[in-house]
Amino acid sequence: MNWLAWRQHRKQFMIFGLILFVFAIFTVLTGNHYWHEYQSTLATCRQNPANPSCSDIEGSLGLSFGAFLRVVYVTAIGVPLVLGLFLGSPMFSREYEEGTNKLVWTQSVSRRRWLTVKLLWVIVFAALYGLAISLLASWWARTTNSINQSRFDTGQFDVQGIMPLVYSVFFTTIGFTMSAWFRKSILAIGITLGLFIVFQASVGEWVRPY
Amino acid sequence: MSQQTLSKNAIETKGLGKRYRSFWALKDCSINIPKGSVSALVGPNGAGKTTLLKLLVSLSSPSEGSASVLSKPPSQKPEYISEIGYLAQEIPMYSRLNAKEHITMGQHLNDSWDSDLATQRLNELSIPLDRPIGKLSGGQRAQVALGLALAKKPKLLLLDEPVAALDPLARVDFLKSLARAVTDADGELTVVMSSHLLADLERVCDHIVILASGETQLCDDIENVLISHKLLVGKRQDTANDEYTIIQQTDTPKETSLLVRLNNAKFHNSRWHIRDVDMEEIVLAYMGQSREKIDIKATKGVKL
Repeated sequence: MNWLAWRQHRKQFMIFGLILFVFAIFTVLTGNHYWHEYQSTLATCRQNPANPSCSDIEGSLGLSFGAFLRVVYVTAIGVPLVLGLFLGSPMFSREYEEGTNKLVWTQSVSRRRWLTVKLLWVIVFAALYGLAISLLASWWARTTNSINQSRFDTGQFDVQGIMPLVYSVFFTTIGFTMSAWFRKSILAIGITLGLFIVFQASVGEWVRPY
Repeated sequence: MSQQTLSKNAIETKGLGKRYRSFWALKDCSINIPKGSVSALVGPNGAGKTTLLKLLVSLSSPSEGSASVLSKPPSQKPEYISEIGYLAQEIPMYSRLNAKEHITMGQHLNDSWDSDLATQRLNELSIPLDRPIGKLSGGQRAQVALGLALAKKPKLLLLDEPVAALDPLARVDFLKSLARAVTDADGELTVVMSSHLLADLERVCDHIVILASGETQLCDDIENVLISHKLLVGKRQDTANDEYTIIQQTDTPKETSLLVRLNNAKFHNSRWHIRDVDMEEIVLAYMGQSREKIDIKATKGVKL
């Protein structure tokens, strides 16, 4: 069963791997640059008690790295959604749509094993992927954290620490649950997307402030 | 238990039925299919052929009645499924995987699996093993699917309209492959194949099960069926007789013709001309009988 799970998701895993690779290079290059720039300007400025305000420097740092920051954050927030849409949502519905569940269920493997192995592969992949994104984003964001001296604003908390991992697993789970429930890929994708939007909006606006 | 293991039948069902909400897809189906036979499962669309096969391979569970397949009640357990090869109607396979990968998949998902046999069969048919299934022709796909089903080394092979979507040449090729598999198995393989293309089935089958409106109407050896069914033609007269069961009656102003099942093969009656009928006529008669209102003229005009 492992062979089949791997074979079925091989391409997806590779595409996701490629995205991760590109993101890693981007993060490391810009992150390093960002950190050094911060160290040599704002941090130095703040260390000197003779300077009452370093807001000019902070502003110019924000200007030159704002675009990079947005790329990192959007990726870290978006990756769980993409996992949910493209890894989770088609998982069962595609089998039902093509009838291949009937092919597998009539081999000598129990349906429970089929289900367990499939789920494990996808959940473990989503978790590891979320973790990798999380490590990269957190490493990148240490500079921003130092600048702001906080990490709980919307758009900050979501991309750091354990959150990308949690969200990745969460939305992948929503994806395949909808997939198994409705047995239609399009429907599963649509509902997962809808839930993501509702969730992000409501958590960011109403829950996080408390 | 000991009685069960001695059963000469590969399949026995008693009052088997399947209901989807208020609709009965199969009702009161009681059949016996002997081991080693090749059975044609025929009937009009919606008669329950697919439902019956799905129940037998445990892709669906019955609403009523019981079944015994290879002396076991149907279940989803691997040890039950492993003895059955099944080919679903739409011939589902992973369209992006090629035949070789499907064979590898089978190897991983079955304890008893003959990769070499499958590979050899497909090679003999010159089917490209490394081309994605989605890019093969319908006939090639069906052959790959049959090869996979046989690689399980099943004792029972259930085929749901395997040739329905194939062109005549591919159909003949498929049936040849099937016939060869039956010969190779030397009586160890029981086959049930549904279809509405009767001419094709006659070529390979020795047993027939007619399902009409979800109820079994006939389940017998083809030779017996041909011997016991006759067409009686004579003047319009009283047709009641306990020596036969009328399957279909056609009246014209002058004469009456009856397609009957004889209770006694030596039936003789001077009032009737007795004629042989072929399998198609018999099947059509049973299907016509199952209709609520028989439009006699229309039925008479039907040619397969």
